[in-house]
Amino acid sequence: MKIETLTTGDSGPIDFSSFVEHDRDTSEARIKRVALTSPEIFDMEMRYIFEGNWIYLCHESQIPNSGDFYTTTMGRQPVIVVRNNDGKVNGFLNACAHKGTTLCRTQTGNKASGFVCSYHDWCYDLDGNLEYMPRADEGYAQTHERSDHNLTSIARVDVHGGFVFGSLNPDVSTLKEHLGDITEVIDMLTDQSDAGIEVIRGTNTCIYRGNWKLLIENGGGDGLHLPYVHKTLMGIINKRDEESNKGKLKVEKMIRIDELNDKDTVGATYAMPNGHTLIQSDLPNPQDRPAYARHDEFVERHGEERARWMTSKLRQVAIYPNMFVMDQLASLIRYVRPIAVDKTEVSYWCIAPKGEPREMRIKRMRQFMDFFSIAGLGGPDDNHEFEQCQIGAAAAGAPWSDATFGLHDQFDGSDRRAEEVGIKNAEHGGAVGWEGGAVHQYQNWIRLMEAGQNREMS
Amino acid sequence: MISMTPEQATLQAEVEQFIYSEAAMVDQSRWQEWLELYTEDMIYWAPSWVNENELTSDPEAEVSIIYMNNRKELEHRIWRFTSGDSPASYPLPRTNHMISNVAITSVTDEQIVVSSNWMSQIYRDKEQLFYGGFYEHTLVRVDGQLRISHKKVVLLNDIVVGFVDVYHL
Repeated sequence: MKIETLTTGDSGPIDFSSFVEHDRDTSEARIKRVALTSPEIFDMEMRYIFEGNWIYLCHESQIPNSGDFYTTTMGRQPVIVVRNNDGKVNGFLNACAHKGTTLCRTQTGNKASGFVCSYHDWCYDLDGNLEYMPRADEGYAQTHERSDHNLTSIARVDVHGGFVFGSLNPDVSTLKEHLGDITEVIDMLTDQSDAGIEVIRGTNTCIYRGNWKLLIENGGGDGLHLPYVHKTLMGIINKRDEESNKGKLKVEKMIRIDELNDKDTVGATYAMPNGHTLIQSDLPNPQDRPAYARHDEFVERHGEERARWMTSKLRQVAIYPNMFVMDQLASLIRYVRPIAVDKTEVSYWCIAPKGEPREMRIKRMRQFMDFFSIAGLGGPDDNHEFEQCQIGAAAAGAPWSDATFGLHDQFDGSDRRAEEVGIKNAEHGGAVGWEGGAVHQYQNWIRLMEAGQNREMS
Repeated sequence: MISMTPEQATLQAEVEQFIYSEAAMVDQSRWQEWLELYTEDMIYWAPSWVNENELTSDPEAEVSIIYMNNRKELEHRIWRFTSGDSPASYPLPRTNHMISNVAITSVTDEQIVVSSNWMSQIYRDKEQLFYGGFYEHTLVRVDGQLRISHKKVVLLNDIVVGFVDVYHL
């Protein structure tokens, strides 16, 4: 099927493998932009990826007590994540078995006594069992089984390091298998407190008018854009340093991302199984990060190399398809919720070790606000570029995006530095700026889209 | 009927004119004049929503939309969005800030606290946005002139289109 006819209702299968061309001889790669603009493909992505595989839902610290719930969506389906009376995290479709009315209507809240539908009073416990329906004796025959009307569970819910993931499709690998050695990087964050980490109060959410993959690709390895899109951030980093050196300004210095592209900076980007990516790089001024104060303690507990990763390296994982765990200019979760083919919601959640001293927390918060807030000095420029890419992607006469940078220089497997801290199953990688991360994400996308299409057609 | 002494009426008028003139400076891109309305140790704070009805209350240790605690930061921010090098802010939108319900909530020898309601119309790229909420200005006198020592901006939205900056609020 030709890409030009994608939205014309042609019923033949789509050849997803044609969306990425990677020429091994010339080390050049390109990606079809129609993946960003086709409503038909978006609809399939919802079914095959967001409603058909593991996705990130929320963090456990957002539902600390029994009965605490968090509402979100999986693809297009409204869901509830709730902590039951045994402390276990459950997930349900947010739809009463009676008429589909939503049971939880706020972002968060507590339903310690169970879910009660406000429409006809059907009541469920925190494991989704229908416990009560009014006038049951007179309204239903003897053969009526209440248990046939329980809430529909999210097929798989599992937690790693407090991060809650779910899959509406039961036929998926375990979460542990899905994440692979990405768990090592998550643990470098959660190990910063015996009590784990928490999401700090306060939402920071925006919608950009662009496809979700533009953001995933940007955070999955685009180390090239920093000095250009974020030119004014670099300017402010310098201004802050000057003022700070003059002793005039009490503000925290910023992390010098302007130096990350220097050739002698130690860093790399890795393509991990299942479409995940990892970027790691030495920070030029780690002493200005809050965790650095505990470096020696981490060395004792976790060894020299792992401690270095914990306090002195930028670490950014893109967990395919909808979240980032980032510890770089700031520590945060970036959560991605596709709304339409050209509309994506992004939430920035600042995360921190529980029980962190207030001075460290203040420093952490300042660094979060500087770049990533919806009014930050960096994030807004990224989002604006995604919107402009979306507009440009409509230029069907120019159907390809280039993703060649660094491919001629890529390595297979992990490198020594990553292996030293337990990250052994990278498929390949390259220097910071390597565009193989995007190629890798799209190859995983092809795998999921083909599998989904085959499943539906068989 | 609320009665005002002549002194109160004079102060009310002065404060209203001051707050309107601040909005005019933003809408007319008079950035240097706008910056100088703020004291050097100013605080500019737009808190975030925690849930449907609660805002964050600790700007140092909780998430905000914007938190600046000295005028240099505002100066840097103005430099950024007027430089032409921030894609998000080039071209700058046309803005129109409407302010009403101006009420003095407390007056001491040191400061005047003023609450008001605001709405902004923002036009760029053939698209119109509306935002709105509440201001709380804390005003002080410096050499006889009113200056802003603290501005709190409540934005009713908890999801924004693309991003926000001080000129949206």
